Amino acid sequence: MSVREQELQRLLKHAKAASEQGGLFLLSPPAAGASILLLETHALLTAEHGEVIPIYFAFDRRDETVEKACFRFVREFLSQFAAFGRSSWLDELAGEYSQINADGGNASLIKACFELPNLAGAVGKRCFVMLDSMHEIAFMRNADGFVSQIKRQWEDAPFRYVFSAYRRFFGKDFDLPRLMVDRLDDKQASRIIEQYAAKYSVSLNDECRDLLATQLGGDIENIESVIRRATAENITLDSFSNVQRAYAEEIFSGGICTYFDAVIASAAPSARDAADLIALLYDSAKAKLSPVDAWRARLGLDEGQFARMLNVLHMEELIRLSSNRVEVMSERLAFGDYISGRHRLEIKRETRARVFADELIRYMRRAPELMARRYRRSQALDLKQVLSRFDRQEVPLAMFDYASFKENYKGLGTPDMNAKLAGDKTTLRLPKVIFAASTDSFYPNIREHIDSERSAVGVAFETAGYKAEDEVVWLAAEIDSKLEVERETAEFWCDRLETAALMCDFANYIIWLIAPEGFTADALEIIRQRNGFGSSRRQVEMLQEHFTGKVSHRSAETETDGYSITIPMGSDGELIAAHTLEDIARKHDVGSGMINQMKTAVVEACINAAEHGSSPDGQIRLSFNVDAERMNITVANRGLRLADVQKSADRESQARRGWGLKLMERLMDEVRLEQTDDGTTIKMSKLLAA
Amino acid sequence: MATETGNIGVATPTKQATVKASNYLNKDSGEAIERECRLKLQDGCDELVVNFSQTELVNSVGVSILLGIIDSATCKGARVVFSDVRQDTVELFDMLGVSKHVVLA
Repeated sequence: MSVREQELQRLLKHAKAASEQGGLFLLSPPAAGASILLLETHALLTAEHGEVIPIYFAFDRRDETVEKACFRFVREFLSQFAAFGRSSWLDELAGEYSQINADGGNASLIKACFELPNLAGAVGKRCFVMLDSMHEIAFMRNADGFVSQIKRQWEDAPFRYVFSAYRRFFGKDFDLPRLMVDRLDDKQASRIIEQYAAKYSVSLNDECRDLLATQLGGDIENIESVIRRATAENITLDSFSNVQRAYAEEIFSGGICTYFDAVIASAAPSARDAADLIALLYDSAKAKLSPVDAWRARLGLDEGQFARMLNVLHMEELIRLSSNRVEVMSERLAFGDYISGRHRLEIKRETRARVFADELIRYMRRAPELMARRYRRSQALDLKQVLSRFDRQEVPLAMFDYASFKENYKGLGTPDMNAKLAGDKTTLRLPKVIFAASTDSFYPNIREHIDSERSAVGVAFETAGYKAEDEVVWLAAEIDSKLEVERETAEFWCDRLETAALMCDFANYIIWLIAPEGFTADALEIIRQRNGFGSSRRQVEMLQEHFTGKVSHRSAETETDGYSITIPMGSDGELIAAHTLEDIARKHDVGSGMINQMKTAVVEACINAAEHGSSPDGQIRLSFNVDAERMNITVANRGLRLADVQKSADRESQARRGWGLKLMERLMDEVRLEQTDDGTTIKMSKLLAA
Repeated sequence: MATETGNIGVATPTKQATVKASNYLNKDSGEAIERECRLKLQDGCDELVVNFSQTELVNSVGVSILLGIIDSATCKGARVVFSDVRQDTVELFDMLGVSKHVVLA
């Protein structure tokens, strides 16, 4: 099954639609797998061998000229058509086209070559033509009007077709229906990595699969390059160090390197200009936004060269152009790594071995941070979506105001809570949010303080009249704390969001802070003074349930195997672990006092896993082993590493929480936090003879 | 009910309330107890008895909530008593410094 099954079905439906006419634009970001999708469509239609004859053609800048591209199209068309059966008509056509030349100029050559599907239609053959990578035409000589001419020629043609290109390539002159394909999400990327690992016979574990998906951001071609490299170098993808080794090889000399080399060569054809561009990209990656004029002045290119360079980088989504400013797209990690490596080798002239080693170490250090960010992202509340659903609804104030929630709802079971909410007369009328986006897309500096997914801005109107005076902007942020957030922290976050509002010229705004356990009375007072709301995570979950009518819960599967069990996080799963431990210990005649101490230690380990892990699978794996001298217990989970979490939780450990590990150490004879690539593994032992 | 309090030997009326802890004291059941206790304190109760006779297991999150209850009670001049606590839970309360803030009965 394709990872893009929905889009594949849409293409097949388009190919076979009863109406003979019609084109479709397939638009996607670079390396999002649009070509794979078209080739899958081609393969399925070929295998069916039905009425529709699929023709796939990809433009390639290596053709350099329109003539070469036209001739190659003719060859591809005739050979693919012939695969569906030779005929005297086809043989005659092939004979005629073997004489074709460019003597009449580009326009007549294009007309003759791209007339082929029309000619097939005239003899009752139904073609489905897929023209892929049309953005490559931008790199060909004298290609102005090439795309428009094909489009005009095929407008009323008796066959169906698809134009596929990067989403930043097509202009406003085209009015065909569009099929937008985005980058693969984490789940799709994971599936395709598994498929490639199977195809290239590479051993792969879940943690490494997720690291690859995160690091390469769903970039299909780069993913395949790394897995191919692992096969070539006989590297098993079962540790982060191995993944980063294969990735580093690709960045320095493999497919990823070749891809970005080609982009830089297109943007800046001379070696000197390319070196200047590399240095500029390296410096700009740190500067976030730079004026276009500053780039122009630094590169010293003529207007035509400069425009071409910006266009190439923009189309490849390596920079973002807006309001006369340029921003290097930091989310393309592989590009940042490529620029960093090439800058050190070419500009700083450092030795290759030194640069390779340093960069590899940097990738290794970065891996847990990337995974931590992925896990935090997966646990985030999706504030953008919550804001989008406001839709002028009237909701109980207790869903926003933590003081009211704490007073009236906290501690109630779900049925009682729902019943009480239904009768709550103190309400809040929400505005109609017309546009919601992450805060960093309005104000990039906020990234220094919060992940993109954990803060959002909703531009809204209080009334349906959409008058300027009714405009209000909600700025929401999800912040971390194990306890109720105190005044100082609330003040810090109000300052951050107010700065964002100020920098974006939002005249009328409302701050909304969300913390897992809500806010102290002092903190709420500060938030109120700053015209905001402070809510707990539970309140926002209630709000989501109110909007969607669905109860949020985590799915989890359990399985048992002897003295190993897997429990779901939450839902008192730790109690099941504690009882299992008790049964095993009693079977081995362990005393009650020891059993109770071990039960508490296991419960604490499970709570730590659930609380800190941001686990992707929501599972805790426990194993128990008893011998004559000791009982050994291992508690493991995927997700954030406890060692990393503890660094940021120092302040909390002074307060009433964060006792888990200390308590385990007091209750057990030995507690070890294992070094892992991903997640946390705690090994504990209790001496039975003590 | 009346009891003798303080050093001056004056008998003052005590309004006692008992809240029962469930078999597992964790975040959810702790918050339920916290809510009960808050309501009792609002009603003017000046001695809160938390009964642990059913409680088999207590975790550290539950303990932190109990400390919050003790704080709230102290602020309102009320006393907190933990009754029928199992020996291993007493040991846990000792380890986490809870015992010094309450009467264990």
